[in-house]
Amino acid sequence: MSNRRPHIRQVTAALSCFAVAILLLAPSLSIRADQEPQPTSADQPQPEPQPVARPESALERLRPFADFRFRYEHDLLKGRPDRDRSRIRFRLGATFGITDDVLVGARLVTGNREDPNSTHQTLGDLFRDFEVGLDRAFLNWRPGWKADPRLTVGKFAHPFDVNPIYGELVWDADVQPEGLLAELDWRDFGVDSLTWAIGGYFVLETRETSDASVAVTQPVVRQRLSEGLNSSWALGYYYYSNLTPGGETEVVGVNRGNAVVDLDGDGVPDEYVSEFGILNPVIALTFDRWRYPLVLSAEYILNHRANIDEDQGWAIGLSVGRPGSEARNWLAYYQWQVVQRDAVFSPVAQDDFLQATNYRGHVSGLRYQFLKRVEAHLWALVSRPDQATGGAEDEWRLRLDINTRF
Amino acid sequence: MAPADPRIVTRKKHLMRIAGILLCLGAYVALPGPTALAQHSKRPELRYVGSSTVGLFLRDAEPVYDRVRFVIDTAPESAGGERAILEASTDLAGIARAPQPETLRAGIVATAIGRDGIAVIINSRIPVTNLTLGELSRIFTGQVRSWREVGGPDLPVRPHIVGTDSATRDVFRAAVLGAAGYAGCKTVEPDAKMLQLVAATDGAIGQISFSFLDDTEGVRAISVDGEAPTTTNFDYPISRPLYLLWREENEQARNFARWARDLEGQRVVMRRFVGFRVVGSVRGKPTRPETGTLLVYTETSPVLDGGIYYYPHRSYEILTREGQLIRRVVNHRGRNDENPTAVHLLPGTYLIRAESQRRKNVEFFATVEVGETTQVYVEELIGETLE
Repeated sequence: MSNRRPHIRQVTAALSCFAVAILLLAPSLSIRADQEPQPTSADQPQPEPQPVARPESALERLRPFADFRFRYEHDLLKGRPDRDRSRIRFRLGATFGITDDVLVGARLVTGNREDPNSTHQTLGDLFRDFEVGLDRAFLNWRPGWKADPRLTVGKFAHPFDVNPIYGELVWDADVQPEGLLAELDWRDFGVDSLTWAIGGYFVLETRETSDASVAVTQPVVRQRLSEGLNSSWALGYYYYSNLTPGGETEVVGVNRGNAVVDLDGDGVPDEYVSEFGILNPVIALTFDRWRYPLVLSAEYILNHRANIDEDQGWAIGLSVGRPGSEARNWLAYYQWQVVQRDAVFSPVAQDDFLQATNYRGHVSGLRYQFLKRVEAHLWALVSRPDQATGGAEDEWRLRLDINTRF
Repeated sequence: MAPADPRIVTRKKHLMRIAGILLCLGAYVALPGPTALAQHSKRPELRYVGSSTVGLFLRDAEPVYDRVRFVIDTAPESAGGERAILEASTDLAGIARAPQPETLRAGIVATAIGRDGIAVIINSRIPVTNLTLGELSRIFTGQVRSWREVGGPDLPVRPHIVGTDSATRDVFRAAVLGAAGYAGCKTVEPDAKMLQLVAATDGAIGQISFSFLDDTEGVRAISVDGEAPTTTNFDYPISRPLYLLWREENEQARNFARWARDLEGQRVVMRRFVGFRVVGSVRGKPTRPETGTLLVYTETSPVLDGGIYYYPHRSYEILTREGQLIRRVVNHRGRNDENPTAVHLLPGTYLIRAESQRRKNVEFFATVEVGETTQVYVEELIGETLE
């Protein structure tokens, strides 16, 4: 029993230390609404207003949100028939502030509940009803102290800074992890801001054996380099543990391209060849002095625990324009990327390209906001296997999305 | 005559020596040291000519703004200051009204630094707390003889008005009397005497710049049209703009004018005047009794959530006017929340420090009033008010 769930215990212990440190620092960090500020100057002719610790009403604390997407997709494949399909996605969520500091949130989504990488529902299934799942349910504590500490527990959005052009190479945006996360912001370190997130996600809990888990962390520095030129420097790290807990192959069963090995010769993979400790630095430069802001990004991926040579990935991209906060905004972008076979952990990597890993390719698109809350997004993804036994040829995926949020 | 007791003479000499030493010590402590004097004299000189009201601001600013040494001449008042800057015989001019069009056409830069309110003051034995502009007009045109006619006791009304050389006289007439002229008023010169005269005269009413209000006993400033005479009330109806005039090529003057519009300068302005960077409230739905609501539409920060951008507002801080942090407002509840957080506050003026990607931080004052919602759009402030 003493060796059970060692990694989760480590992660939990680390988070506990982090939380304790925050609580110990609380007296020096906290300046709360219910504390009366002391007057510092006698020469002001008016008495200073005192803050009010009055909460918002229950209605004001409830914040619903929803979005809907219609997608037309056409795949141009080599050696297989082309495919086109129409898909929709509907997401309905809400957050509720229990107090000024504590928030609960949840979200309902369409899509196959067995597939965490997608919440889309393909149209054309004999008019069967759609599946609906709960892809977020979390509790967040954010006391509003000076360093803005946040603790989140439950199933929530992976909050790391990502490549702003196309940022799903390592972690698909639809994948909502389950676990704990702590975040802090500092603004007194000679840079505009330093954000640090650290957390532990449960990958697979098993009854009798130790669990599969991933420890995650990311420091992000944001710094204005000159007038109109902003930069962000993020270093993500993902350390996966015990992916076959007690010989359980369920995690291997959802592999989408990593190298695996069949130990017993039954034709079913038993283990990943590599372990995964993924370093993911991302740099983004934003120049917004012009009418249409320019963003340049670069990303590198290294799995330093890989047992094969194909352990790296990289991407470089460029965008021009503004995302659609207002009608008639537009954004054009392009990114080139290479992701080698064991550079990323394929079950949580993107599913937009035709391969989750072991590919090189381009993604390019145009977003146009034709109403304040309705956007058209036309994009193309072209890729070919990075390492292939036969000849590798480009395959295309063309998409038109109509996105609306309300 | 008997000779003085030598013991008494010695004691007196001794006491005088001690007093002399103490005097020297006091002077050493109280007077600026040679280093401070040398530093003060090393500062470049900035000559000011113009309004005595704006001159008060310069005198307040002198200990805070240490990049220049002011040479202040307020005798020529606003008109003389405007002439002096046109003739380039001063670095900086101050006027307590809008600049003449020909001044601006000549390339002179006008920087508004705040508004000077003209307070209505009454003898404190009269239990009246508010008068409308219409009532004031009838009082200063001689149509009201007794305080009873405007809700006060049966006492004769004794209106006082500042002299013809004072800009306060014209501003008050323009705001209160319109085209009519003063009638039945006693003239008071100079302005500063108004406080003592109103305090000493039963039934007296007068007016004076906010900048001259002090703790004089027997006199009280009253509200006009329900607006309190405070340096944070941008809606107070009897007021005039205060401007600094300078030439573009004068770097010292330009730096000072910009400082006056910046937070540190505005804190000095608001000791006596209504600050320029105060955002007033708008009529909104009633919130809670005794509180007002603050809604700050800070810049948004796009969050890509499953391929769809959401735009939560950036966080901001609420501080006291002196800059002491009261509360940090995250300004969104979760990454998908696009509505700013409503903060219920007691009425007053707060310093707001909002995050801005373009300018790092944007700072301004916001006034919260009972039962009203103060809505602030930070991007509009950046574009229209604070530039």
